[in-house]
Amino acid sequence: MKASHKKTGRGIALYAVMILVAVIMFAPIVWIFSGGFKTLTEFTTSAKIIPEKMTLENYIYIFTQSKIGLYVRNTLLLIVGNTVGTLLSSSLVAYALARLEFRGKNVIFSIIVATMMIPNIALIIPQYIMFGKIGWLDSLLPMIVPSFFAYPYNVFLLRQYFRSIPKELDEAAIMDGCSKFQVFSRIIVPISKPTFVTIGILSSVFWWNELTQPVFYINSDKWRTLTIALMTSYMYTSGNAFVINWPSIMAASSLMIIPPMILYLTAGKHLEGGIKTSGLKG
Amino acid sequence: MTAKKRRSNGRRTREAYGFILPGVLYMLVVVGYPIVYNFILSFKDTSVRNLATGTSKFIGFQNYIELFHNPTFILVLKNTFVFTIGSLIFQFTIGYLLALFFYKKFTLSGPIRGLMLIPYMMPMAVTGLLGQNLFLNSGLINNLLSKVGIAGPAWLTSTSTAMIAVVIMNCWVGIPFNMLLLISGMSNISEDVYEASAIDGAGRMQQFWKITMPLMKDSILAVLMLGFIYTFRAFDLMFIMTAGGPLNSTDVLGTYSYMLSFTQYQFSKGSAVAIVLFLCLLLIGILYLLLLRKDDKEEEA
Repeated sequence: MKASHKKTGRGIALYAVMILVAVIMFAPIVWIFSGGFKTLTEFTTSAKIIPEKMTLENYIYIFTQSKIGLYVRNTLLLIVGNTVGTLLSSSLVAYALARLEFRGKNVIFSIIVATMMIPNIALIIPQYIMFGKIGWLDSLLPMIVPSFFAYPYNVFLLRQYFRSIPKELDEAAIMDGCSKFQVFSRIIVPISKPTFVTIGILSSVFWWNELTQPVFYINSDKWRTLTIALMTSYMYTSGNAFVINWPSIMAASSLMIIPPMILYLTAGKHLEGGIKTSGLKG
Repeated sequence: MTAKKRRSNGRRTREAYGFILPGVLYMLVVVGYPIVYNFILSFKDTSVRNLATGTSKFIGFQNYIELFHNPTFILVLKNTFVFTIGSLIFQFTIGYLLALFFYKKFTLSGPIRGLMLIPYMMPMAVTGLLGQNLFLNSGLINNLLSKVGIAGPAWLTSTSTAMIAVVIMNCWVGIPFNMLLLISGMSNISEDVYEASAIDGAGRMQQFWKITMPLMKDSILAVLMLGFIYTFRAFDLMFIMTAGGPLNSTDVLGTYSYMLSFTQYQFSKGSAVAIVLFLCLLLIGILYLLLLRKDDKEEEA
């Protein structure tokens, strides 16, 4: 009797701690969404979650005064370019590594895995100088073109998946007179659709969020992505160059959080698996 | 080997090389050339003065020697480790406790798990700005602290608290991810093991230490290693939240390398810092592989 009392007591305490943790995890997100509907004065003077004076001025500014369409277009160009590029090229490389026999295969695979360890910052200075020489700075090209040459993480993911497909399928197709490329395009690719979707979603979210590379490569307003715009175009809109317009940032942030959230909620199961196998973002 | 077979081998190899061509080009052009270039750059004295004229000279290990004699660099190196290890300890411990809780299915556990991933999914640019805002002197956190009678510090403008604020923000992002990976590790352990041990009289604590921990060893190792590799190369969060300040107190190798190269235009120094970062990661990666291999051998034996 006593023991079971102790148990429920501990259970309640555990729940209380968990609720506290959940509040801490969610409160900042609620803060962002509520902040977007506040005026600058209210935002800086009160910590209320529900705004006293609900305003749409921040959203009206974003949609009518700023070049939001341009920023969305640039971000979408990065997403589409990279997703198409990496799926095309990474799947070809992954197929060769998973299915074909050729000299140097293990060495190439090891190098591909090893390149995942190289931090971006150790590559970006030379890349910056290199892209500068061919006149690609201040454009989206340095961020899109490389994806057409495969991407180690995705090669790794696809190779693991391809290896799980029974080899008998390939062999039967080759008996029927298919070439290696036909085996790839007619059998392997259609079967691997779920993995393609996962990589597509992960790549889209990555480029929706990406900041480092646009910071390095983009100077002019015309190629700004949403992440850059968040730090520049929506920061000092209060009319005073020294006052950060937090509500404007919160409104823009709310808009930036929603698309990855929707993607997650619609493709949640796919994505959880993808995150687990691919490791971390980046 | 007959001539015919050799020829068909050759054709098969050529075909395979066609498939891997993009991968090889990636390694040569996008990674290989830049990393070699970066190594060379770190042994030269390239800066904005001689980049265009191409008159930079080789100066051997001079950049590295200067770095390790520079108190700022030593501070940055220390910061990187403090940031990484601090983040790992808290995000792992809290992530683990949450995983123990959320691993069991109960009402709403699915949606809550999904919502908990938002901090992980959202742009670091948003997280950084959010952190800057929450930790303002008159921001939400100090506001809440004052309600319980604590006078909060000037988080981001004081050299002694800025790192704490950055670590807290980074944990906020990392906790859901740790939780998710650990849940997947836990669900691989069969319920039967627990039931059998309960019949043998094992208590909850004993089960945790004798069953959960040993069987989770691989997942834990993977989570910590991936976490280390990702956290050690952090850039975005500090870049936005504190810009490495105040007085370099939140500068890490990533941001310091950026600052040397792109605000002071000392490209060679920036490259040398990037190489130090790379070598640290390489060391950790090799360590991880050795640990994995040792495990494999033990299992074989």
